Amino acid sequence: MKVSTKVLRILVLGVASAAICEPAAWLSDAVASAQEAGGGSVTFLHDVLPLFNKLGCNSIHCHGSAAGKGGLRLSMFGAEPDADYDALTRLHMGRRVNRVEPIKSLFLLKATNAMPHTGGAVVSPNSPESALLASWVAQGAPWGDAKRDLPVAVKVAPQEVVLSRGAGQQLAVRALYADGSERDVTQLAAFASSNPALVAVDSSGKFVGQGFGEAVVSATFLRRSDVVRVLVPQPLPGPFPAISPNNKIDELVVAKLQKLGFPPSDLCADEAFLRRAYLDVIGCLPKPGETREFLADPDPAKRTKLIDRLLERDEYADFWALKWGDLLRIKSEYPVRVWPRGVQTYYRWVRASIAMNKPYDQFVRELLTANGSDFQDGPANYYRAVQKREPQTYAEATALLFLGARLDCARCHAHPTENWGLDDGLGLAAFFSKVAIKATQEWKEEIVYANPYGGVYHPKLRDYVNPKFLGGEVLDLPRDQDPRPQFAAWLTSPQNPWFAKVMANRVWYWLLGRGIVHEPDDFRSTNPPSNPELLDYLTQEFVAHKFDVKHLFRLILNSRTYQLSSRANDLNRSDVAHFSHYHVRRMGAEQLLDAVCQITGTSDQFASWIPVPPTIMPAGSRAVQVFDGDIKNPLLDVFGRPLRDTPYECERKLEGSVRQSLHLVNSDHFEGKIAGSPYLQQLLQAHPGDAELLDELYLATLSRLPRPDEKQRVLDYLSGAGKTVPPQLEADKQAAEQAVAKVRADLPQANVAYEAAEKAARDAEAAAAAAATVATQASAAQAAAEQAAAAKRRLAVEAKKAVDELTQKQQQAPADASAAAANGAAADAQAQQTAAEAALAAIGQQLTAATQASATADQAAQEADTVAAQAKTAADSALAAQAAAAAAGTEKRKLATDALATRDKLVSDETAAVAAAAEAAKRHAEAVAALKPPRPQAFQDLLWALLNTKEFLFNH
Amino acid sequence: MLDIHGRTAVWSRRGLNRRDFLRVGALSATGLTLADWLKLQAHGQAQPAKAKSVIQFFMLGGPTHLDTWDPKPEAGDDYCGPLKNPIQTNVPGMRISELLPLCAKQADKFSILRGYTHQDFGHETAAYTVATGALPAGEMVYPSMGAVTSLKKGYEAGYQGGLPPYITLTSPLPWFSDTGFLGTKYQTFATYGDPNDKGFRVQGLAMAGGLTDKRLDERRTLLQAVDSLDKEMNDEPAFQEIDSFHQKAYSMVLGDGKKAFDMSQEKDEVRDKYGRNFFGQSCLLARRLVEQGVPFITVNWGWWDTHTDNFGAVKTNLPIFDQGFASLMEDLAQRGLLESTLVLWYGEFGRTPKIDWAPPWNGGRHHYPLCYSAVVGGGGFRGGAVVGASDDKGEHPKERPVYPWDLTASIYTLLGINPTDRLPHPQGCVAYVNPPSKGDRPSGGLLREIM
Repeated sequence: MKVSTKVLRILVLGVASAAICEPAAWLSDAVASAQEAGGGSVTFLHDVLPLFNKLGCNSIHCHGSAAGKGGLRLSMFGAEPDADYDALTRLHMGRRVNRVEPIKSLFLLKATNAMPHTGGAVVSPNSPESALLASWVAQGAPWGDAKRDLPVAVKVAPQEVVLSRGAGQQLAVRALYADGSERDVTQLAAFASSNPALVAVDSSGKFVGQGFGEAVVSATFLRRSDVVRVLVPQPLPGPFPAISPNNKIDELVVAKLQKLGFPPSDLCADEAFLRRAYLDVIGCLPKPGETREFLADPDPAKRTKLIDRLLERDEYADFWALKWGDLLRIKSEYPVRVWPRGVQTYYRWVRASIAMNKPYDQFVRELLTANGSDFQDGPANYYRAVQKREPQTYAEATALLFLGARLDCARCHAHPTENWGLDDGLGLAAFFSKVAIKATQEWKEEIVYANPYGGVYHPKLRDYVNPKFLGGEVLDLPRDQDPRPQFAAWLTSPQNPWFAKVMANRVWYWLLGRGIVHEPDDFRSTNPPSNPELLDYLTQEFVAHKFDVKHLFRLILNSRTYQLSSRANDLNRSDVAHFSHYHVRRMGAEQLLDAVCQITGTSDQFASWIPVPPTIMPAGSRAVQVFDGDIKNPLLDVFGRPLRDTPYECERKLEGSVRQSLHLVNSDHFEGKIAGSPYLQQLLQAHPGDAELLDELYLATLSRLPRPDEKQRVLDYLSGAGKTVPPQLEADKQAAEQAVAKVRADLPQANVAYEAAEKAARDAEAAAAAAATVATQASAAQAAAEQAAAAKRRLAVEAKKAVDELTQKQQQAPADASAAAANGAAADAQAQQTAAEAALAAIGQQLTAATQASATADQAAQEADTVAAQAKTAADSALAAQAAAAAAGTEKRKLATDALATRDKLVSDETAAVAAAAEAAKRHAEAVAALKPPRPQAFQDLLWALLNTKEFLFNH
Repeated sequence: MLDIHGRTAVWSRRGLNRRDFLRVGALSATGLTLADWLKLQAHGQAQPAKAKSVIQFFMLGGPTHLDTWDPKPEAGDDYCGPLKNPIQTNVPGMRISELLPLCAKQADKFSILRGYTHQDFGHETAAYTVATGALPAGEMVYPSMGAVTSLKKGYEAGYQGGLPPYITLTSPLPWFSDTGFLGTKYQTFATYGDPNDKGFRVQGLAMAGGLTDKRLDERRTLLQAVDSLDKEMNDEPAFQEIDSFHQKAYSMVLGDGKKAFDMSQEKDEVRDKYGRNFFGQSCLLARRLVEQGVPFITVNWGWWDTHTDNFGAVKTNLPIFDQGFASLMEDLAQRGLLESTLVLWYGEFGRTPKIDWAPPWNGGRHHYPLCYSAVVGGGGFRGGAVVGASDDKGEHPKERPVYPWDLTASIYTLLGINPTDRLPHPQGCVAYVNPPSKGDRPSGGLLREIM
């Protein structure tokens, strides 16, 4: 050993000068302390495991993940050192360590990234860490001594610190060992702050106050933890206000607030108190009559009296049976599958217990020790209402519900900061090892009984586990005895450190929306109460009053702390954990549905069709009375009622969602209730005046009367006052009216123009007709003249022809006479000559006459030609005149037609403009009318709006 | 209804203790081979998504595999009953029930997993296992694929769609709340109603009776006038949260996204093609929602719990299914949507291959999870394949068993969601997208052969 120590020392000293990194100091300290402790050696438990923790090798992201990394799996946070030791030194033929050349051990080569390592270089080759690991191998990779090397506790110093904002301090962490020795493990511990925004802590344990309030800084070393409470008080501008407490609660709360510099808000108004107390104690809203009565009551003790009254109401049992139904997972179907008849029996037992205010310890003892049929014995269902019916699950559910301990993590991996491990879980599970369930002939009936042969087997020790109280001793009982009564007695004993405290904290959480330990089912050393004195006081009271739950309610509800306003003041706005003002939270799904039903005077349907037999709740049932998590209602599922999958309080979701908003804003379900509200119809009839109706609606929804300014705003809204028609509609209306006016202005002129044009056209057309007549006559005259001229010409020709014939005859006559003379007797010839001469003379006479007649006829013909020529000229000119007149007529007619079209267009424009103006006027009128909607519709809208206010949706 | 609830849900593999799990557990990380797991863990992030949307058909009650995708006429009358003539599909060698002639013409677009298997005989627990990929062990209730998709692909992941990211047509699963420990926020948006109804209206999106856009606007104004507490405490985070959700709700109610639910926008021929019934129109509506970019759509349809008169029931229901499903596959392919739309069909279990002729069952089939069929297609799944096989009587997987967690891991992978990612848990418990094995169950690994 001595040699190895020397080697180590040389190694450490050798690198100390080169090492820039801080851990050099702590490592040499570690080595030194190891030597002082007497062993002088480096062991796995004492040195290597803490180093792995510090380096994060066994975190979930690295080798601590379920499947390990790169083939090496370490237990998460080093919860199973033996397995880790095996993995490092023995698995794969021990190839991860090299005892000949320690520095070439595979795990060291990986850690320094000398061989490819997904996580890169975690330590540098020359670092003290490497040296330590190498020396551990050099010494033969010793395991160490669990008793000597594993701490039994960790202590931090200081335990409580008051810091000013911006100031910092270093935490010192000591590990305590079984042999009484101590070790400074500040450099090896892991640190966390409960609220990093308030108090930040770095990896070396230095913490700094960043905001006002209190946070807890935890230090964890090898799964042992301790905490320091860090207070960062807010400096106040003046003295802390004097508060007169209602009871001891207020003294304890104010003492803490004073320490932190958070002056509490004012007492809430009576209206707020009334509404809050109803919602918190019996889960529903006060009715308007109840509100009026309470507000009018002058009794100074009226709040206390109201609390007493509420605690005795039937709805109290309904509401708290719902809460316990959530925690105990009373649900027919998956995952717990209690089935409908089991649900009914179980629920009835729970509700009856609450209604009679059964002492809490008795309630829990009856649950835990129950046996019997799920159809007959309500509490026996406790062992059926889990997903997996086996001892470990029973133990986990029981620990969570009644000890506030979350053991279920330990089943898969160690809790990072808590020292509950697998053995604790198994020890607790052993108490439930005899619980067994058998089927019966009856469909879905099962019997819970104690099976003497039941046992819990330890997978590592390969043996049955003895029952072991959580954080306590092992119970030695005969193997076949059912240890549940012993467990129940231990659990519910007044000395049990958690039982009463967890319930006191739960009741506080239920009433104030935040636990003194928060979450209320997360009790652990690293999550201490924000006000331990307060929680202790409540616990004492609870125990002293024999676990009377209503006493706790009364105590808390009567405190000034509970009755504080939800409005933060400027100095306590940042406080979330110390109850300087009431925390607003949305109504639970069932509260919300019941409130809407109550206000609107409607009811809802609650039914479950799967599994069989179906369950249909009677009409008029309230949502808080829904006894089976499987009974469906769309609103309840949307608004985050607990699925009853687990017993955690946080299963109830009070956060919003788009789906919820859609339901509130626009759903047939809600709209049906509002529009079809019998209550609203009744009010509309009973109150002709808007102001009184308004009062009633405010009382029903917000449990108060409207303030004058609100009343005025709403009445204004209802009357349409102060509201104007949208400017566009106004503009449209005016524009349309102007268009009509313009068209009408143009129309008369168009009429005149048209009429003038029409007249001109007609005149022109008449002129054209006259010209046509004239032309016709002229043409006729021309024709007659030409005919006459032709006749005269014919006569002249005939006369000429007669002249020509006579002339020829005249020339022919001598020859004829001579011929006759020659040929005849002389007597005859003479006679003939004479006759011829006479004839010739007659011809001469005739010729003269004919020549005269021909000349006369020629002249007459010439004259007639002249007349005819004149008549033609006249006719031509008449025709031209006619053509001109006709063209003029056409022209004027066209103008007249155009003028008509212009006028007609204006007329149709006018019709259109008038129609448009009427439409614009109608829209305008509608908008004007809408400024003051019909009364029922207006009040439906108002009801919708009130149901969508934060003041309604939230418990405040 | 026959209930076989007593049977254990834990995988029957004795002799494993915690220590063994340390060694074996690593090798059977659920749904993933060790190589898959390590690769995904090392990459630290998901592979790029091939599927943008999933349409899940959940056939409530558990449809029979022998009368649908895995016919066994050779097994004799006691197995195939009157359905003796399976038909060939458009994929050579793949044959399916004679009651699915239209699907047979689209078989190149989907693949049949004939060795799908688990060991849970109860409706609610089997449905849980199939929908989540987790066994109903321990106290942790896992979220379904839809809820996980709504977390990983929903608003917090930058989803900008005008419709909720996870929609159920039309009623949610009756047995368990599929958000598990994730809580209300990732709840499915169930439309309720029947898309085949003329008056089909979606609560919350369709304007409620008597409301108009204008009246809703006026109500908003009025709300501002009466919300006094909001003004007094305007820095209250819970109030601001409600306001932001209300804003989103208003924009959904007044926006265009809801038109996807207006079935009258589809041509009559298209609507006829899908079938004028609840299922056919749900298929069509699912396609319309895919077109709107909704990441996860579930069509829940039942009742397939055919303990009595199995053949009467399948002869009535399968033609309706055949028409709707085949039309959807064809339509998705024609519109080029199949590549990015993953279609998944299954029930919580199959049904006993051997027919129960005795009264009162008279030709019934009972619950049977040990071997049945699931169908996948699109979104990165190759079509036209038969993955695995059942034995001669369809009673046990003969080759390539596919376990629920193998299928969920494969689907997550195609969605670009890393199955080894942590899920947020209210108690900070370690929970993965695809719940890891505790050494208590086998795995066939990702469906690489068709991915």
